[in-house]
Amino acid sequence: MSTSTVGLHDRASRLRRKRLGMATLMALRYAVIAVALAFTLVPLLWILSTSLKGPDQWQHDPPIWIPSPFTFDNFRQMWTDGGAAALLHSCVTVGVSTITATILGALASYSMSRFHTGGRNFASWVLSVKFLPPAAFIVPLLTWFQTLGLLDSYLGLILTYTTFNLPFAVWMLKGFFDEVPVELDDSALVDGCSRLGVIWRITLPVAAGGLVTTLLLTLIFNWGEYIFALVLTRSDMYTVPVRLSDYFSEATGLQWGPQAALALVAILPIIAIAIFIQRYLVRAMAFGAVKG
Amino acid sequence: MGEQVAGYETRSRARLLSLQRRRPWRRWLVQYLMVAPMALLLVGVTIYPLILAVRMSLLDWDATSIDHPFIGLANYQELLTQDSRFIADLLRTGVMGGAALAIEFVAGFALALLFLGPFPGKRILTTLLLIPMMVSPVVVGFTARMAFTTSYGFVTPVLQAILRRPISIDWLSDPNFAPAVIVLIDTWEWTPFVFLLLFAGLLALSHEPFEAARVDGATRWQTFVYITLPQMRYVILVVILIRSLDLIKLFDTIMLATRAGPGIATEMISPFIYDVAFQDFRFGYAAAASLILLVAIMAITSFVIRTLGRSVVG
Repeated sequence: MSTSTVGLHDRASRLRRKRLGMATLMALRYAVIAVALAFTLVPLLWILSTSLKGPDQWQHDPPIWIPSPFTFDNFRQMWTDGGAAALLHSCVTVGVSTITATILGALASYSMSRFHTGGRNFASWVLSVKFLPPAAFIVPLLTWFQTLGLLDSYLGLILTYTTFNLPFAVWMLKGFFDEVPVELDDSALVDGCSRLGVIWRITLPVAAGGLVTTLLLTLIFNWGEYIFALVLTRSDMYTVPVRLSDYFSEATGLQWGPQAALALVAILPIIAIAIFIQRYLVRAMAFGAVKG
Repeated sequence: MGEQVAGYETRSRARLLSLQRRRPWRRWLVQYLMVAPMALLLVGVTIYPLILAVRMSLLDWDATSIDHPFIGLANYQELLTQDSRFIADLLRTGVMGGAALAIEFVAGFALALLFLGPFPGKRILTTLLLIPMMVSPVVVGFTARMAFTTSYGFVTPVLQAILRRPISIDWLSDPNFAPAVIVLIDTWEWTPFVFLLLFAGLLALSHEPFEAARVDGATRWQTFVYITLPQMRYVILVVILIRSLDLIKLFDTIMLATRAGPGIATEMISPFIYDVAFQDFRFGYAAAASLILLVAIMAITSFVIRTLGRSVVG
């Protein structure tokens, strides 16, 4: 009787101690996450705040966190001051090259997935292009495009963006296509479907999630691309990142409000997309090395 | 019923085979036509320019002059033996990249471990913490420039409030602090990526070894060192490889935050190539530097795979 009471008491205190340990761990966890969260969000909130401030508050000392009064003048000025053109250029270039890269990538990766075109390691070989530094290409690409008359044109930028995103699209899509059973293709072929018909009616619908993820990630990469746009376009064809960096070399001095407004417009849609495809991110970012 | 299905399958299989046997050229044509556009683009926009780069690197190609005389390997020789700026930039790329990688790895791993197990608010917190890696690098660099500018950025006042003493550091124009700022903003942007990959890796680990360790009374630290780390080898290898290759080509954030300055205090290898080509107009010289960079990248890739790969296999 007495021994069991002692045992119970003992167990209860151990449980209490364990709970205390858990509570400490929980507190520590939230403390660390709170610091990480502040570190993450404060710069983003600063962009938002600056984009809504009047000129007298952009460079105020001490810094003003909540603009008063709120103003949308920065957005208006950014829009008329090259922002609208930059957004148009970016939308056309990024839109066309993203869709092209996904379509061409789908064709190539279907061939690689079903016919093992180029051998087993072809996909890895193609992927290695993604890891080459763009800076190493700018000089030869500039002279090559100059010869072809592709500088400062939609076509030049679209060709570049399509090519440099193809490896990623192929790698992603091949992984998704490999998971679609070959038997589906075969039965459709027996029923008289053509190859393109098989891809269009069977493979793509089955791998639709993968296709959308690939498309959106390619879009994100293209949207932020800077160095090719900087080198291959001069005066007329500037994209959003180029326009954003141009603010620093303007004679009018720092225009932080409009610049922050353009930055905000540039990142908001991307963040929305990223949240939408969050559950595919692991797999996409690790190039299939980690299954998420 | 079962036999009927089997019969149908055999018959359809036979029909498929006969279809393929009757028109082998057609399958071959379809197969290669589908890869052709990609192959054409890769050859035209990546491989051919690289061949051009090899040729340019052997010429004294000044963009402002008309003729480009052949000078053999003189560009390479100058880069590797006389250009102290190039050597310094290579070193700086290694040091700044290494520092960023180390911080991102430790912070990302710590966060990943903290996120194991259920707790209230986990989903929304994960989403919020992952935002930086989706922000365009140009915007990251611009924000850093706003934040660290001495008299009206927010970093100095916030630090003063936390430390309760005046700080007079000119972050972006002090050659000692500017590189640290670049490292810090890369950490801001890419720790979420490291966290995401390591977290996914942790979730995929099998439970048995952890159960066994708990039964044997292993401490948390022992469990981490002897069970978690070895099981995570492959994921760790992938994280380190992807991040190193990204850090070597760092360009956008540097150009926006510091323009590789003050002087060349934050100049890494990509800004060097850009500057040589578009400030000095020495295209041949820049092409030679590009090719050295490409060779270095391939060497590093195979080195990382071999050294870490051995521990992955062994």
